[in-house]
Amino acid sequence: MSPLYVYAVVDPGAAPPAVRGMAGEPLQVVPCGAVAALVGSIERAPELEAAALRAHDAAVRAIADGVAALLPARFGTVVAGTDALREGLEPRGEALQAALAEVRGREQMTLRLSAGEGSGDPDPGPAVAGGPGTRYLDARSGAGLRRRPQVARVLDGLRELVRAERVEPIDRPPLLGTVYHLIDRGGAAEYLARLETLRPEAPSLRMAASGPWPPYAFAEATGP
Amino acid sequence: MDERRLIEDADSTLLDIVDNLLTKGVVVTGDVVLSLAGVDLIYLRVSVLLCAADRLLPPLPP
Repeated sequence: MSPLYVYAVVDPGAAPPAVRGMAGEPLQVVPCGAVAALVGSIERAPELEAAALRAHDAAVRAIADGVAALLPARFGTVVAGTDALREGLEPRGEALQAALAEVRGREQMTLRLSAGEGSGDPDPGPAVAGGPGTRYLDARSGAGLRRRPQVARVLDGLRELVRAERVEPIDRPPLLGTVYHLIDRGGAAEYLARLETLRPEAPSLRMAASGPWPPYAFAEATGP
Repeated sequence: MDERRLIEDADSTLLDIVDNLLTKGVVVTGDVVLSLAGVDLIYLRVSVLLCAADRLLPPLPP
């Protein structure tokens, strides 16, 4: 039996998409309990190359066009066969179903934030009470980033368009972090236009948005 | 391709793809994954986040 390359987790009733995989292989739907996986038979794991990454992304985007909900798989996910796949996914059926419900009819925008150059922090948030442990957990959760006044104004300004949010702080000035937003499909132009109107609210923030993307950042909470 | 070169040669779209595909997405439990030969995902995660964020940011407004 050939190894299987995993592209995405989808609803159990999904029809096999008329999409080819990275190696031109047809895709199969493998039922895995409460969800299903879209996979292709391959000879060997792909090398980590730009072309392979683009091919994986292209396949996931093509799959997304044909289904209302999908959780993209991480690049390079290869399993020995259908038994191994079921063993990996079936025990997490409930969590994966919840993640599918969250991304249904939605797509991802990525917003990267950095502080402007110059001495000192132009937009510090209020200090957190408590010891080093509390401050560490606060910073890690992204709460500190959300409390920065300019960041808060931007996130509040986008709120109406955002269905879910993940924040990844980066503690390396001037980099502040990345915010992943789940928006309704087809809403990217409105999101980007709204962001432009918010730039005056955040004069010392540098912001770069990209998308729409398949909801990569909203699939990882289901991982081990 | 070596992962450092992958990052150094990348344009902003590829950096976003790297961030999404290598640090996000559903993970099927580790013991059933056969291989992604020679890739140090931890190294990639850190490097990519730092490099990608830096390069994707527009210049400050005048």
